[in-house]
Amino acid sequence: MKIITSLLISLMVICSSSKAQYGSSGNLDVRSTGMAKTSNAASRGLYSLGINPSNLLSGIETVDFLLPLPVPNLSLKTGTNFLSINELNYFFGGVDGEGRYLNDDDKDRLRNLFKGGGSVFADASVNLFAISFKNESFGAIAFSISDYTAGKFVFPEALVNLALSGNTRGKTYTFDDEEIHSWWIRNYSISYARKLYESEQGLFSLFNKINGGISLKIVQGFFYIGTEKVETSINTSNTNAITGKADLLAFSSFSPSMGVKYDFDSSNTSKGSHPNPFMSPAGTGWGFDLGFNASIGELWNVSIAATDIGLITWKENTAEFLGSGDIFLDDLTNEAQWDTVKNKLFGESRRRGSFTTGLASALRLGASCSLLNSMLIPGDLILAFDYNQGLNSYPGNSVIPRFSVGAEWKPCNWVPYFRTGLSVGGIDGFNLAFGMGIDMNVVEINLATSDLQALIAPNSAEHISLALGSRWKF
Amino acid sequence: MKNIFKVLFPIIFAILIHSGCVNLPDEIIPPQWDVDLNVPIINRSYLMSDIIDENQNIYPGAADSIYIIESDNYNVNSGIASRIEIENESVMNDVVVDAKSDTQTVLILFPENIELDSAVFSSGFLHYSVYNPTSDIVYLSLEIPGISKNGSVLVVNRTVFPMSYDSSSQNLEGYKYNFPASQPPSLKRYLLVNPTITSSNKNDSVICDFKNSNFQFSSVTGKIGRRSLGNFNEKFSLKLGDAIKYRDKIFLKEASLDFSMKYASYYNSFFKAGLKNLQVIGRRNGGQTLNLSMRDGTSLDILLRAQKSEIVFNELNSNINEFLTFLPDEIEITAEHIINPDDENLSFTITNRDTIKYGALFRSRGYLALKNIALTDTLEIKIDEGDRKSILDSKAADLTLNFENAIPLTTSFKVVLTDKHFNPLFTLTRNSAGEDSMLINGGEIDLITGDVISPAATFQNISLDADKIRMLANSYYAIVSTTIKTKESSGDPSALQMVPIKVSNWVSIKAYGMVRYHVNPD
Repeated sequence: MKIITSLLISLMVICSSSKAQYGSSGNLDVRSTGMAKTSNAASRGLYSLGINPSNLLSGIETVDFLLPLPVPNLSLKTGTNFLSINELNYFFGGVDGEGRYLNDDDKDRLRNLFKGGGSVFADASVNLFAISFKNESFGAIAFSISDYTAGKFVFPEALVNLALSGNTRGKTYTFDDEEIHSWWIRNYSISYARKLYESEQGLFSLFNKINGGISLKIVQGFFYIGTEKVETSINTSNTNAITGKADLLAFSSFSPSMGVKYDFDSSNTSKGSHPNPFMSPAGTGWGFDLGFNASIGELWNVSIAATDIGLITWKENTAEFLGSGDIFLDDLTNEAQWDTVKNKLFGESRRRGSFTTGLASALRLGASCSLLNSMLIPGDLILAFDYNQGLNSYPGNSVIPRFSVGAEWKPCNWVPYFRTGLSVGGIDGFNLAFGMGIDMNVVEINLATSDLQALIAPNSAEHISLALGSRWKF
Repeated sequence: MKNIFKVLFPIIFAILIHSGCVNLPDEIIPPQWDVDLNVPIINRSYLMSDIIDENQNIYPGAADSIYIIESDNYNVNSGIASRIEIENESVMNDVVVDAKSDTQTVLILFPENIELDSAVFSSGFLHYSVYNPTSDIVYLSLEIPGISKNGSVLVVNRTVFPMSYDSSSQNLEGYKYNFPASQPPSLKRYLLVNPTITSSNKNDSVICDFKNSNFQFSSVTGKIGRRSLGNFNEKFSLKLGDAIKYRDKIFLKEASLDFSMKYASYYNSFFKAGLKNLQVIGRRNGGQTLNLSMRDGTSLDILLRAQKSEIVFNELNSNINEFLTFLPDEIEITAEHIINPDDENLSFTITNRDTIKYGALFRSRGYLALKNIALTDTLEIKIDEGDRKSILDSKAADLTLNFENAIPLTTSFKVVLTDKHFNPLFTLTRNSAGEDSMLINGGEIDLITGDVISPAATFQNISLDADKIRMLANSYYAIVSTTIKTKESSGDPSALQMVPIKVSNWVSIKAYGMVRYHVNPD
């Protein structure tokens, strides 16, 4: 028992230092990851939690568990949207032991990499424990504890241009694309799914079976750092006076156990950092997922779900960073003027009462086709298509729609599952996924990456990801 | 299960092998590059009140905010005299003193008709001669009740032989005089002498002559007529300091000198005194002198009043503008001290401890003309070593300097940077036109009032290449040569355009430029 506890704590500590994501583009379970996160209609059992709770009824198992053993259910992803290994080597590999001197072509090349803003992200999710029970007449019920930690920093394109080329007279630099979001949240969710309709004739002569599901969540947040608004711009006049407008608002909140002390807060008598897997939360909230799944004939499944509808109220160790007003700097030797500009650009920090954030709410649509021992393809093949639309930009989410197709194929009993898919849009852009899984009857072990290109052409890849997990089923 | 692993392991193995082909850099070395930063360096306006350190010597005038330049108050004490001298003598002859009378009275007129209440002799003689026409020896006693020493009245005893003369002089130095109570107050002009003779024959008599002379008093109370105490002179230095640099190059207007005199009586017993032919002489160390003189050519005779007598020299009544422009190192005051100048019939006390306190306060309104005043100063450049290294990260700089000058002074300056050993490195102010000095034109002025009517704009451009920036990082001293002048209407100093320096005069400096900075995060 001690070993299990130690493993659990280790896993959570690992996760606390990285970033987890869910929402429309974030990390999902290992099976979905192998299918390029194409899971809205194709997920099954406990792997459907957080995606479409009505899919709890899918699958043949009566009871299934997610436990840290034999393989913890863990998803990790990190990368940038601008820097591949090749680019990293070129720009950060040096020349004869010295930093590479960037000529104009190099600067153009670097600028192009950051076009539209350059984001760096890392996220991780871990499912600490989950259990579901399914009964034909009652439906399915599940309980799950899962952690998500995520971070995303978007370098504004203007900042890169400024750093490389300086401030050109007459040109306005806007920093609207700057973004910082990071959090660590824990969901305690209880889910229920049941059959809502079943008929040979079909509803509207189309849907033979309709399932519905809902997940209710209690959410704990351990830290949050996020920009709410960045609408800052600067301009350099013909006499080099810097003018512009600052409009920055950001919030933060930390669990008291993290021992974070703000510069402005001399009254904070924090006794240092003591992070642990069961820290007192910085914020609490609630949320729910609601989903429906409909079968069309024997082969097709369509799905619709709204996930993570809810709020977190952050109360502990909160601060706001506020910068607003007109920017004017025409005298570098004027310390008061310079301090004012710095405060407006980077925000003045001060204590804040509670504030509220949403969850990574998303709308998920999907369709899948199951080909079981068809004439053309041996074994079981599932093809799926997803459309995921994030409703906000919290970690794991993106308002940029994400489309994906995925497939899972198990040619025969002794051959593992092969999973693949490709995804376009969302945070990551284009991704090619690959995964495998072995099914040993009572336990299933899976391994996947949503960034197969990092394995095929690692030097060109901008992201790397890994998901693994095991599922007990009875 | 066995078959599963047969398939799974080769795939995983292939992935891991392939992953080993990731070509990660051994060490992350950030790139380096040059960036052109357009920076606003300074944009400031300075009122004259920001530039001038106002104090008790320079402050704005209340009426029109023109600066007042004022000296410290120079004071010098001049003793009126080492002694008060009665130059003339008085004589009284043929005074018969007989032996019959026990008491006889002789009144000898003081010289120059002075009336004494009291006095202390610093010198003086009472001469007497006696003729004894008898055949007896006569004993003569001269008691002078008004003169005493250590409480003892002066008494002279002489023996005069028959048919012979006797004469002597009594030195009065150290003696005091007090008007005798027995002497009628109306006879203060006289020295009372009580002579008596003793002889064997009561009918004997002698004939006496008296003379007093060379009376000099250290203090005296009484009625003394108008009297000169002689010429006196006193000197005091003007501590010009750096102002000496302006000699012959600054021309002042509306200057003034408040010259005050006060008679300080040792016994607080003031009476009228006067200064005759007062002269204020400016003298430079090189020997050149300039007298402060009245425009109408009159000499200065001043009657000192009860408290403080004052005369104000201004540009209307004197040549004070020229005098102050002369910037003497030393001021000498000469005057003849006169007591009782109106020769009034008054009783007063005068001592050789009495003084006349002279006070001089120079003042000039900030109306001036400057003629190419050259100033050179060496300034230490205090930059820490870390900042010197940061300067080396700059590869070039192109600076634009805009001056708007609403001060009626044209300034040009040249800044030469030197190394630790004062070896010149380069001229910082050398502009793109090849000129070493940077000129800041004075504001345009109204030729009548000298007031600035519009600021003058000056643009300068300085380019620093990598070599100069390297030298800048190695600079430890700046030799700043400055030339300041006001507008000149001609070379004739008397025709120089005078300008007022006002609190509201201002100058603005706007500097901005491009700095090519080498970014090397490593």
